[in-house]
Amino acid sequence: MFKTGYILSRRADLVWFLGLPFVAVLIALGFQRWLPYVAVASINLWITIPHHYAGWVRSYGMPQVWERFRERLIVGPFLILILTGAGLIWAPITLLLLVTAWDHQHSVMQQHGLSRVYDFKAGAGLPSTGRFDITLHFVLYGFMFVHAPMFRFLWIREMHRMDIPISAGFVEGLLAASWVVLIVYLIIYAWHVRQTILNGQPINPIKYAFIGASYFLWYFVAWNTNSILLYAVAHRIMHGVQYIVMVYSFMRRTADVPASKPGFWSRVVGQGKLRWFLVGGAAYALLFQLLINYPLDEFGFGVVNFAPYPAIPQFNLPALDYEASYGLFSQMMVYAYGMMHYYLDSFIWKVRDKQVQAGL
Amino acid sequence: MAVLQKYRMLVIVYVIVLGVGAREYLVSRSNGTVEWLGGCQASAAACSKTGTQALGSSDDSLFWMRHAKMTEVVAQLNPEDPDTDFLLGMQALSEGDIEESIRRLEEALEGGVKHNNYLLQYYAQYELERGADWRRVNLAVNRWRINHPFSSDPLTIPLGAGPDTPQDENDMYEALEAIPWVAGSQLESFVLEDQPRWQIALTFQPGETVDVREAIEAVTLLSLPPNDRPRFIVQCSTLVDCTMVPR
Repeated sequence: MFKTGYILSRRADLVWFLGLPFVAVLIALGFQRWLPYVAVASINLWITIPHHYAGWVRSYGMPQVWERFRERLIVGPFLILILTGAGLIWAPITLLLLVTAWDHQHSVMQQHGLSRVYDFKAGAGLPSTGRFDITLHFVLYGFMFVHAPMFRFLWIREMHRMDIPISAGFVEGLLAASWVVLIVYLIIYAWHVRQTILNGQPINPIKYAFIGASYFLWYFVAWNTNSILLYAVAHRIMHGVQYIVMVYSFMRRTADVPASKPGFWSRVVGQGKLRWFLVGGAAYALLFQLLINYPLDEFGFGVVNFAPYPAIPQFNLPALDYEASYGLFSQMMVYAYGMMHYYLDSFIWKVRDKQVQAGL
Repeated sequence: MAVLQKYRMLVIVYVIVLGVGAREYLVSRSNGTVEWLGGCQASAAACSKTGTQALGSSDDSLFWMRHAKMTEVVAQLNPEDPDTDFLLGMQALSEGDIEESIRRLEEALEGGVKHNNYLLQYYAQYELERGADWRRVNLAVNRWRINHPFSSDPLTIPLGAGPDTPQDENDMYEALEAIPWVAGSQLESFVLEDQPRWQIALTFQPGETVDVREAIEAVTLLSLPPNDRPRFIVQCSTLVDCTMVPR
């Protein structure tokens, strides 16, 4: 009846997939208690942005993926940039709603995908289990989205801003309907599990432990807070870290396949290379932050602040604001690159050097 | 069809955006009800431009009138949510009920809310303008700045009188620039009840602890005769109790 299967290994799954949601909630509670709101931006920089980097490496850094999806990998960014540009000009609220909605769908799909891996690894479930699972995810997540005060506030506000003035009565009706949907679907899902067993197919209990842990996190932070901080921190830790772990594990296992083609990915995967993969993620976040001209202090959880340039009244110098500080940073980069050029040329061009002479 | 299949995710996204976006575009250009939060609806500093005396300016009242239904629905469904208190507070403000507005904001703050920049900013501005004890003002301003250190919204300090000469203005700017937490300052003038009024808008350096008394000392410098300014500075023990002391 039961057959266990793990994504990575028993111990690793316990840490990254089953235990992490609980740890993430504890971390978020600590953030809520002790750290300022700007810490959400820090979590974004340390986890969310590097998880995008992991996605870039997985999609653009693996030749087999590039060759298979080349057209989509080239056309997709253009279509998305056009959509974003047009949205910003003509329908900014729609763009914001799209990004938010897609983010929620993406979060559900990640947990669904990982649940599917559990069944795949255990050889569990029926061919139809995937469809039942994805519906289960959307019903559970949708129920939370409709009911949790934090989310309810957001969608009621956006509906009114879109000139769809829903009433309290309508919302209450929707809440009642969502209860019916939830209960009915849980019964249907229980029936599917029974069918699976009757058909002699095993059930992977670890999959359900994983789904339970994920929804524990989402439900806990959506209901037990009066601040979006708790949700933002806990969710981003779970989503980002699990994604990074999954990408690295996938690439590491791909590296063992003899037919795998080397590429950027293979330079950051393997014995002793994990640190470079992680450094790459942090460097990507740093570059991203510089590109969008946001303060580097956001890395500091509101605790560590890079010294701003204070006023020096004795020299009649005013303090620099962030715009001016960024200008100073840019100037520093120009100087530093210039000095690197001077320094390199001070030792690579010695005519007395035999190796140099050979190239002349 | 193969192309549609291949790009189905983007097709779905485009269809949604075209449908919803077209509605937003048409609605926003017909009656203007689809809008970003802006002005006093979004920024307490924008409200404070005319101080609490100009509550319920036509633009802001219009915004809250349009969204009164939203506030009503949210209040009915999410009565315990601090953001609901914030909305009710701003609604009361637009109707001129300052006491109710502040009661709501204080109720929201009691929950230890950190995420609502406007709430924290507005409350800090309110504490300053009502002449609260300097410790309360500093607490409110620092609570706002610690949680939202990169918010470019300013805090405004009403001035009893504006600078008489460019020299006055320069002296005040110099004194403000010497304060570690001040990133920038901008003198603003406006007319209220046929009287010219002045205020100074301050922006902040992240990571610096704010003591509003330092800004009061800098702007009170204007009360010294120009010849005395090189020899004396103003020291404030509260936000109103300031004395002249030798440099």
